[in-house]
Amino acid sequence: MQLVFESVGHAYGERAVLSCLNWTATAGAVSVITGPNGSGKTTLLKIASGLLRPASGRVRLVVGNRTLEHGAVRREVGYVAPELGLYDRLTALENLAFLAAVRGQRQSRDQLVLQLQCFQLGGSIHQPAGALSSGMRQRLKLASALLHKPPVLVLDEPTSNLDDEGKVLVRKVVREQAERGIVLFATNEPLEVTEYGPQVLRLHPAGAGAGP
Amino acid sequence: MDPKSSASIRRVLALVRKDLLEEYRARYAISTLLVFAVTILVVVGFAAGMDPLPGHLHSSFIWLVLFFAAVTGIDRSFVKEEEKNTSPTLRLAADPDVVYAGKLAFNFLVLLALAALVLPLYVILMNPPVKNAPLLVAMVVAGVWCLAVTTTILAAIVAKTGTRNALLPVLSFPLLLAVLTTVVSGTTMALEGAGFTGARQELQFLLSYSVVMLTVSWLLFPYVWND
Repeated sequence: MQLVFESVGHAYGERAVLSCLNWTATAGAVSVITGPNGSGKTTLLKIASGLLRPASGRVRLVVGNRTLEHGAVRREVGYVAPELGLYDRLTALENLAFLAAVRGQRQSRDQLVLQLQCFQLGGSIHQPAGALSSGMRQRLKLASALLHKPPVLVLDEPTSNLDDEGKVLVRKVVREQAERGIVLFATNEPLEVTEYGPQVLRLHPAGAGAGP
Repeated sequence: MDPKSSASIRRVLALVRKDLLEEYRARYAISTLLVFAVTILVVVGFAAGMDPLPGHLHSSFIWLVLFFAAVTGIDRSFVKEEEKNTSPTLRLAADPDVVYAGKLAFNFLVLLALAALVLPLYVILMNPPVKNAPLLVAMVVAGVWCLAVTTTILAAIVAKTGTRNALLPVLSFPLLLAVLTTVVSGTTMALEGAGFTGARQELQFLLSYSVVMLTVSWLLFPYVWND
């Protein structure tokens, strides 16, 4: 399984954030994306998950003999990002149940509760998402992203709001996902870059460049 | 029904259920729509006083209330997804046709609920002569359906822009002008006692309009929603 970026470029108005990026993320290892603010990490993750169409180039997800692009990639992705919202008026359990149902997954209540318990949210299943702390919201996002067991997991600074226990949980999730699929992990934490390497993409503000 | 269709319906119903649950807890749309509708009804009631109004004025007032209420509150269905940043979550989870069908069904239900509240209130306050109640109900349901079909796709477009509140009424008016004149005419017929045969042209127009608008919206929505 591979996620292939071919000559990918993107700009917001006059400001180019990515230019002619060629890179391949493969299953079995964590692909770390790092770089200073404004270097295009989030843009790259949005393009990878099919939420943003690149201004130039393309992204292909190759799974066996199948090749998926843009909109079709979306269904194969679990995405966790600070700018990704939850339904604040719905409880944690209702959020999960809705996302499962709208994806067409048939999950029993017990399965959903178990998923929440796996992310240490067992005591908050009936709390509205809007009343959860930022760390708990992050756990709920992780639980939602992994509910359909996606082949590609895209994480944008997933540990930024988490306590030590939460960081251990993310580490476990990332390791498990890397064994069965692709993980894109954007971070600016030097320790995380070292821990999850060696597949590291370093982005630079003026454009993009890949390398260890 | 084949399994694929029933699975799609289940996904649409999940979205409608979510929107209804959010609406029940927050009352985003219905409170805006209802306050607007009741204000107009009370003002019109005071202005008209005890003088009996002709049928075409009654039907104009009814549709003014429903039109302006629709363009005031219906944009919330998509705007709230953008404001709360849940639209990327929804785009990752659901296909565009599921989102469109779910939002259309929700908007239709909200407008239908509003009509079910406004119409009896109008009858109580203004005492219009309703000579063919089944035709009046048919006209209201058909008109509300056309309002929902048109405002749903426009609300999706408007939600992507920066001038959300101002745009929906401006864009809706030219698209809904023919619908409004037709439902006003059909409603007048219902108030004055015409039968379904007499209002056949109006009903046929509303049906044709909604089929054309639905087809265009269905084709357009993935581009609006995805990019």
